[in-house]
Amino acid sequence: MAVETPTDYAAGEAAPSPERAAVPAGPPGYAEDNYLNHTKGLMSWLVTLDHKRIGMMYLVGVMSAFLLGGIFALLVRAELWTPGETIVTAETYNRFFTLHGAIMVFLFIIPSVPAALGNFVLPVMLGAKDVAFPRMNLASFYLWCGGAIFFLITLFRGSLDTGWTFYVPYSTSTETAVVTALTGVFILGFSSIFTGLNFIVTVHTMRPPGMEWFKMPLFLWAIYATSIIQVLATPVLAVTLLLLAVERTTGIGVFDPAYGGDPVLFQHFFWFYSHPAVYIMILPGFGIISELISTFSRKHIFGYRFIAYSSIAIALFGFLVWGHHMFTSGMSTVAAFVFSLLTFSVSIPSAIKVFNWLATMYKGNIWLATPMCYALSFIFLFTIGGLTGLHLGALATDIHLHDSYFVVSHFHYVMVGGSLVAFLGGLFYWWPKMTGKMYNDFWGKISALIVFLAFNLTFFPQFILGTKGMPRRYYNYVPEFQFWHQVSTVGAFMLGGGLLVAAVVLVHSLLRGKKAPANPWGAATLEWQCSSPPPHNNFDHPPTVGDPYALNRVVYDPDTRSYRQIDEFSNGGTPQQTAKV
Amino acid sequence: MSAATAHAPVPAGEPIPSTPSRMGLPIRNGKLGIWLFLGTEVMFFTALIGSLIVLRGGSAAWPSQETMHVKLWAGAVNTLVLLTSSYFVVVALNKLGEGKASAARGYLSLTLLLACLFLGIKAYEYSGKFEHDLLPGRVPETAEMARYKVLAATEGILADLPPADQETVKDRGVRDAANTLASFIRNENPEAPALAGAVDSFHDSHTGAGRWLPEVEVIPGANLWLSTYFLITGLHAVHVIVGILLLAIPLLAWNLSRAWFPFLENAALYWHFVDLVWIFLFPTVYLI
Repeated sequence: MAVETPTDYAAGEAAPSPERAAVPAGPPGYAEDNYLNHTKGLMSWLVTLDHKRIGMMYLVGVMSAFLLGGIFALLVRAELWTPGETIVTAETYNRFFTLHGAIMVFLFIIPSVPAALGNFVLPVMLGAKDVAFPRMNLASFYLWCGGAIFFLITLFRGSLDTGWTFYVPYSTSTETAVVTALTGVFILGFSSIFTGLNFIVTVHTMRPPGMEWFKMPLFLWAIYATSIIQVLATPVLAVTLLLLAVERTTGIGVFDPAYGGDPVLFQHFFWFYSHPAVYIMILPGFGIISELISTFSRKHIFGYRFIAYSSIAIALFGFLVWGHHMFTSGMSTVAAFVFSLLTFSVSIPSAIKVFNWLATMYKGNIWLATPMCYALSFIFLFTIGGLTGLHLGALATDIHLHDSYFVVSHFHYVMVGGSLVAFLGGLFYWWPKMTGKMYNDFWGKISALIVFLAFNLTFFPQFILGTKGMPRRYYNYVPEFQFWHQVSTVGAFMLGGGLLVAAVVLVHSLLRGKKAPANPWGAATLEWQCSSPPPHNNFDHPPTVGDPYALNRVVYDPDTRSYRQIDEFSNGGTPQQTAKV
Repeated sequence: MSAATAHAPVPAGEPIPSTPSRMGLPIRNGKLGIWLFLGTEVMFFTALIGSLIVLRGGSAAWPSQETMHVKLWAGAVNTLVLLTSSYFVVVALNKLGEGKASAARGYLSLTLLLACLFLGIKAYEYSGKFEHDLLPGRVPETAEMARYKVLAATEGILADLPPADQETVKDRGVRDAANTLASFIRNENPEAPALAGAVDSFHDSHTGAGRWLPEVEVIPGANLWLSTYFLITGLHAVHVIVGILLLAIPLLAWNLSRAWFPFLENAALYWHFVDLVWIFLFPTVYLI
């Protein structure tokens, strides 16, 4: 018998069967007393130690930053509609692309999945009541706020025009508010370290009985690998920014050639953090996709251990490839060769993941719900982003493509097509759990489609521009490039529209959405065993730890319009259906 | 075998056994947390010491310890001081574990005393650098830079002299000598030794004037050396101060008892780390 897959809760009509009619408030599994209304008042949120509430506050924060960074992105694209001045001067344009990059990287992408979704999901998925250090968790959120405030001060007092990379010697000589921005990034670094440290300790010490390493969902492996990078790489960024700030404010200078310092040393330090930081951004995305692909293919994940180990491998390899950002900065041939080789080696664990996802989908019972649409979009876009990374890792082609729009397009395919799309997929996946509300699946899919098409329209032309020789960060360009620039700008505004649709779908669900059952997607991981939204202490009953991808043990119960573990039926009723795998 | 049974999934419908309450590492959350935090600190100091090594290797000139007035004995004594303080903090922790709070207090006081001694010796070394004007960006690395430095100082002395009608004989003497020196620098285009000789004769004739010109020793690479020196030892000193604050909390706690053991253990781990960093800094800065 085939599993009946409901596709649209919001449009569907609640038809409770007679024996379930005694529960009028919502589907079974919907908790009337949950973490959202457990305590009331603004202060109960501001000083909360509940990881779920901190995750929600992070979500609001990073989405605000995303909006701000997105506005700067649209301003940049609007300016590039024509060569020369379109809406702003060259100086203002420099500030726009710098603020777009800095806000998106430091305030949005890095904390998006780990701090917002991870904070909410990790302890529940693990079967724990909270993270290991709840107070440090709250401190991490307020440090994030502190960093954001410094960015806002930067915005209004002198702005920033160094590019998000803060390269010396320009960053030590420009008149803009570099030190304020550096302080912001420094504080955000602590926030990131606190989150990572907290997650590592949580995974090591807070697992419930039965939750062995290889029974952990792959999202947890991905977050664990991410946390390792956060803990080990971020301090190097802290040193770099500290030295830069000291150089700007005092006579001490280790990057200034006038004192015998070395500007290339700054680049080494910066990328020693910022390349692993790329994996801070993408690894949690991999984790989300592993969950989505398995759940919505109604099939056990293929190659569980390979995916788990490949996360750790990416985290470790990621530390050894930073030099590929600097092939044109002056580097010995041997060093360039080794960095190129190591860069290629990172593609192996990445490809392992992609092939395992495809193998999971093969002969699966694919359910094209909104999260799955984002997941498929991710595989397509990330593969393009990853493969174009190999062009840039190859020494000869990199000389031509370095600092061109090809690079811009490559990392947007990974950061937006990868991280952001995975984040949205995860958000649509866990939204019923986080808010207790189902959204309109049809419009969710529409948003995924628009985002996918508009994204390609925005960034594919940039590959073409880059290979033709359009340098990144330029204000002006030759008239031949105008067509592709205009296509890209149209795509950017459509992308903004698609993201707006996604936002409307989610906000609408809060106001009008149906109450969500405990397990709307039929996933087998622990967070779906607790009610939606989770109660204050996550689990009213200790969760039963089993194989996180044993989807054949999760069946749809038409009476409750929710999925249930087969084990639950053994206590009372009999399963209405058995899953076909 | 027992581990396997303990980890077996709990059959549905049966009550969850009370033990083990959780899996994973059998250590306190806080202890694992502090170890990870020390991991971040290792990366922090690795980057700093790494920058010193890279800059030193890449520099055309790197001054020796004698040139930079590094006092080997001070570094050696400080190493001994920190190592001893690390020993005392372990004894304090053991005493607290045995429930002997007042003995723990005593050893903690010894630890803090040595920590302050370390900072004192460090301050003495720093004051020497300030005294000789050995500061980043202030040491001439070429004869040309030395000339400008002396010229600027000479003109500073001239500008500071009182108005002509109140001049004392001594001030007039200083003015004449400074003017002579300034014109010597401007016109003679001296090499560093000649310049040093001129400065010395200026000082010899006006010892009582109380207005000293800076030393004009030309030290190639000195500014970078000083930048790394002050950054690395300074950031280490900041960590020492944080360690002192951490260890002072249990010392001043009115209810010091075994309940404080986890806190003191974490603080002691941090203190050992501060000690360990110095073990690397001492040879890097003082010996090699």
